[in-house]
Amino acid sequence: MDKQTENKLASFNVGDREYAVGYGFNDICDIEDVAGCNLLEGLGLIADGEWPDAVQLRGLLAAMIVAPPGFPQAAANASVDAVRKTQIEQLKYAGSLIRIDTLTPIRMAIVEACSLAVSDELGQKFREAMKKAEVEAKKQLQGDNAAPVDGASAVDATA
Amino acid sequence: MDITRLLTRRVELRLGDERWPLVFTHRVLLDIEDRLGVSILNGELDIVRLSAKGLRTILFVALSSSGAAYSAAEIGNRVGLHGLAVARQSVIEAWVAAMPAKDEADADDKEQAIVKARTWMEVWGNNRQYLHLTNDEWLDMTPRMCQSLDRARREEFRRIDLMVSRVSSTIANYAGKQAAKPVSGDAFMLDPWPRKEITPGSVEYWDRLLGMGGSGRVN
Repeated sequence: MDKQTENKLASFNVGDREYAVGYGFNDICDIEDVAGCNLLEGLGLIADGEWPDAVQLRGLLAAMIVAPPGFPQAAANASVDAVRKTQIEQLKYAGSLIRIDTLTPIRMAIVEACSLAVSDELGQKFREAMKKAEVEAKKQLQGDNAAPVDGASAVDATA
Repeated sequence: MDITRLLTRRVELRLGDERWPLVFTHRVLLDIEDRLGVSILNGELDIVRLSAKGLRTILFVALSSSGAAYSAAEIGNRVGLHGLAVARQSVIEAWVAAMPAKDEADADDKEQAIVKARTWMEVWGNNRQYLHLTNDEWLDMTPRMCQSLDRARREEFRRIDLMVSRVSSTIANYAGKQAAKPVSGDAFMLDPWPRKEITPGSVEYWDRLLGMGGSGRVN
């Protein structure tokens, strides 16, 4: 992964494991064919505080994730076919991280990574989108607290 | 500076300390098609909703044609998230400047629409035959420049066409059995001018009123 902003990374957690993401235009370009969708459009949607579709979110995550241990990577002198095969595996890896409970943290991490890559009014736009995502996340959490579906309180209620 | 860059509206993209003009000549367009595997003529490239790879490829081909020596990856790094919106806007502006202007006659000229070329081979053949361009001249021109030449050619053809048509209509009006309604001067034209409203008192108005030609409608 050719991350432009190696020292400006955002992160999200899946279970106990922390993953880092960083913005790199070339990474997005390189995986776009295999992702089979317009990732720039997905990035624009995120910048506007909207949700990209599932394929766009998976593609963006695969492009922006900083290779964790076990992340499929092509050798430096790999053939075009081998690179393509690796990219498909990268997409699958990214897809495996996106679950209902990790959707919002991943989206927020992507927005934050974009925000960290810029410092002008565009950055402001991303930061606003991030705030919107945070508000939505808080709403979701509040909703979860109001109607717990697992844990001690749920057990008590059925007792 | 060549004629294409002099005539085409100047759209530049700043990369680092340098500014590069973006001009979409036929050579650049063919290269973009080849690299992206889409047909520009058939509308398979949505310039407003470009993909990341599409944008990078277009910038790479257009900037290389302007003399820049950046690789596609270098362009991707230099544009970054900062310049993404600016780069996209510049590409759209340069694209509009290079593409044919909307023809007034296009909207209602159904026959023209049917015979419109759909492949670059047909466009090249048409331009070589009718505009007398060499391969290099054609490759270094924008579609809008070819449109301008083609408009001049059609205007010249129509003038000759009108002269012949007037002779034919005079014969039709004054020889043998006359038609109930006089035949207009442009009735025999193969490629008449698009019909337009004629202002009372104008030359066209009197021509039309006296049955001497004019393809417009008198109010």
